[in-house]
Parts: sequence; C-alpha cells; structure tokens
Amino acid sequence: MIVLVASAYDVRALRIVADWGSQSAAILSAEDLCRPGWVFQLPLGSPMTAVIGGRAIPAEQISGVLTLRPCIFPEELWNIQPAHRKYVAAELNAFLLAWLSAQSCPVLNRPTACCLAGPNWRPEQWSQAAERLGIPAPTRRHVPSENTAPNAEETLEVIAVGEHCFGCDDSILRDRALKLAQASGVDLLSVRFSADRSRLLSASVWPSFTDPAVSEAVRQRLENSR
Amino acid sequence: MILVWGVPRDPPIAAVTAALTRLGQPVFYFDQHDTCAAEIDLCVDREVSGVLRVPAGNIGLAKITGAFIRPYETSRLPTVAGASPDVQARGAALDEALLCWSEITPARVVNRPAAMASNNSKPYQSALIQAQGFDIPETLVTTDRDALEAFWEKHGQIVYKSLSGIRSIVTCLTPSHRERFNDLSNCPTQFQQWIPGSDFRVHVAGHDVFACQVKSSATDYRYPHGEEETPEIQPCELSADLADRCRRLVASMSLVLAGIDLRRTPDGQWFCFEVNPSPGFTYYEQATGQPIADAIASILTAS
Repeated sequence: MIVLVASAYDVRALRIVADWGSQSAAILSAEDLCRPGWVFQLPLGSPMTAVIGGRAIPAEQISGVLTLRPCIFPEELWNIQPAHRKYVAAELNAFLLAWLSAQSCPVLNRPTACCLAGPNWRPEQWSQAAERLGIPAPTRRHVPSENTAPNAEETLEVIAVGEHCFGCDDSILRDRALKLAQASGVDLLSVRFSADRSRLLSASVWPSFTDPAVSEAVRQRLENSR
Repeated sequence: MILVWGVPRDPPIAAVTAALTRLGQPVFYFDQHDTCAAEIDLCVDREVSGVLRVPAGNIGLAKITGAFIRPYETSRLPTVAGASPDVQARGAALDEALLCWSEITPARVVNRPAAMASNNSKPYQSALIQAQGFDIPETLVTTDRDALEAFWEKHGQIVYKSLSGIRSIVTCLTPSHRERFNDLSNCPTQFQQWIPGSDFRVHVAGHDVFACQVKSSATDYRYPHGEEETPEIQPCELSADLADRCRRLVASMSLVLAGIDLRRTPDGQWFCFEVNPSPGFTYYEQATGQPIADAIASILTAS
C-alpha cells in the first residue's frame, strides 16, 4: 500500500488516490492519528501498526509514503477542544516525524526535523544552494516589506522524480534541477527557472501532479520497493 | 562583531554577553523587545549580505562573525502581545528573516535553528541518540490501551511524557491513570520504561565538556515537589570515552552547544534521555562554578 500523508480534504491527494486505486493507495489524515490502533516502538525492530484511512495495518504492508503536507496545523483539529489544539498538533507532528523517519520503505520526501516533507527551505536557502552549484539565483528580502507587484514573470518548470525529469525538456535546466534535488537531499522537487533560462526563481518539494507522467513516476517509485 | 539576539533578562543571554565583554569582544546586542522597531535587508547571491537596523544602531550582516541566538516567541513579548495585527505581523516577519539569516550566514551560530529542531520530537531525537551509541529507554508511542497494558506489564514501572517540547514533564504511570486510558485514542502518547539510577547533566560547548551529577528524589528533577525533592548539583568528571561520545553526539546533530541528560544505572549502563539544543546552562553554572558561558564566548570568537 502507498500511504499519502495529507489532509482528508486535500483535493490533490484525493485525486491521486482515485488515479492509483483505493486498493493500492490511501490517505493518512490527522483524524487517523487520533484513532485507536497506533503502535510505534523504540528501539526500532519491534512490530508496529499504523492507522491509515481508518484501518489498522501492519507497518510491513506499507510499500511507500508520499508526504503532501509540511505539518499538521492546530486549526484543522476540529475534534479537539480549542484550548488543546496547539498542544495536540505539536504532539501529532512530533509523532509523525518519528514515524516517517523510521520507515524503511521509500518516502517522498524524507522528513527533516523542520518539515514532514523534506527541507523546509526558505527562498534564500534555495538561492544559496543554487549559487553554490553555479546557478544564478539572487534574492533580496526587506522587513518591513516593500510594496511590490506580484511577480507575473513567465517561468519554465522542471519536476525531478528521482533521476527522472518532467516538464521543460531543456537539458541544462534538467541537469540543474537534478543537482539542486541532490544538494537538498530530496527525490521529488519542482524547480522554476526564468523564461530566458538564466536564473532560478523558486523550488518546491510539492510539485503539481497534473502531469500524468509525474504521477506515474512517483507511483512506480513508491510501489515497487518490496 | 558578535550578535547576541534575545531578551536581556534571560540568564544565558546575560551570561554570554558578560563573558564576551570580559574577552573585550565587541557585541551588537539585539534586544528582542525592539523587534517591531527593527528593519532588516537580507541579500543572497554568492555571498550573504545586508543590514540589520535596530534602535541602538545598525550593523552590516556580513560583519557578524558569531551569533548567540535565544529568541523567544516574539508574539508573546509584552511589547508585542498588545500591539496591532500589523505590528505583530512585522515582528513575525523580522524574526523569520533573521532566523533565515541564521541558517545561511557563514558566521558561527550558537545554534543554527534547523539543528535545534530535533528536540521538538523526542522519539525522533531518541533514534538519533541511539545511532550515536547511547542506550535509550524502551519506548512505546500508542493510541491503543491493550498495547499500553502489555508494555506496562513487560516493564513493571513506566513513565509517560510528551512527544514534543510542550508540557514535557516526566510522570510515573500509576493504576489511577487507568481511568484515563480511553483518552489515549485522542492523541498518540509516549511511554518509557523506568530507568533506575543517577542523573547527570552534561554541557558540551564546542570541544569543552562540563558534567555534573544531579541528586534528587523527584521523578523529573526539573519540577521538584517540595524542598525534599530540590536537586543537589555537583560537578563531576566523565570518562574520556563517555566525554568523546557526548561530543560526537552533539556534533552529529550539527550543534555546537547542548545540554545532554544522562542516567547511569546501578550496573554502570549509560542511558541518554535528551539533547537540549538551547540549554538553560546558567542554572548548572551557578551551582557548579563551571565556566560554560566563557566556553560559549570562546566558540563565538574563535578565529
């Protein structure tokens, strides 16, 4: 089974489950974390049970995990008393980080202590990583913020899934996207470049899944591991 | 120039500032109470540059060679809590920009925020601790009362504590807790085997290791119930091997300063409970006379 760590109301996650089939993919929601059946033990090696889509399943039935959220937010814990939501969200995030880190199957993207879905890098951190790879990516931030018009610049997007690339077929940009993914330690990355191919504009660990080829590449990476 | 960022009355901030002053080092002090009056310009290309402007003066970010950071949640500071939403948003944006700088600056930062984040998940951090060769207590995180009963029966005596850094108080599980077991399904809860033995706090600051033994009858000596549980703290020496393990543990987490909580069992086994990346070291420094603030100042000013 492929597990999608996402909100139960995440339209993108629901569409992916529909595409992949509910027998082979299911959502692990915040509500699932608040259901009986979870067993997680340290040191690792003891039997463990997860609750996915309302069902308790042994950990070994999980072939891969796709994480579509940075964290669980207090505001979404509507079934928890308001005074306790911040605490419960912190507890759920702490648990999910440990659980995701303990998975031996492929996890896209592997969590870091800062984010459930990989490095929670700010634009400046992506810029620094890109500049170190020789990819121009100057950024500037000012606080208090200056009133600037939204950036409507045309972009070229490359989506890296493991060693494969999708989107723009420029070989130089694809090579740069793969290098940036490697430098940031992720297997799944959307990278946007300026239309003249001269600069990195942004990077995100949550690419769009509207391209069926991207969705299929991710599914294969998560499904064929065992 | 060394940047010190925090609240003046915070004892570690005051101690490190005083230690830097004793070394004759120039300090640029950013009092967090001034957050909403501050400005920052942060530029990244091949270098990290920009300017931080506070009421007391300005500093070029590229001139900062070391930074000791212990910011509190700005929105909870009295000067910000009652301010308008716009002012609060500006404070949060400034915090965010300076935290960003703390991650990418080539200056020595004690400690970088991303490196400190492991402490927000105790079981995640436990796995990192175990990977560095320390024993950790057997741990169960569960929403299942049957699993808890089996774990309790196996270990006889167990404790529970939060998974995150919030409400992190260690408490012994007793039969009276059974009436709350149905609440387990509301939130995964962490249980650990009780480890008997003596408590030690080890501060690692760069290469320096400061150890002390903490004697208290409390389940969690940080929260004593009554005078009889008040901890008694005495400096001590660790074996060279254990001190090295502590240094490696801290370095493996990309930290340069940490407070490590250890317990030595009666048969000499060392368990590690936690690595605190923002330790309130002055509490131990005052009890032992160990020069921890001086060691931190040395890290910040090392060439």
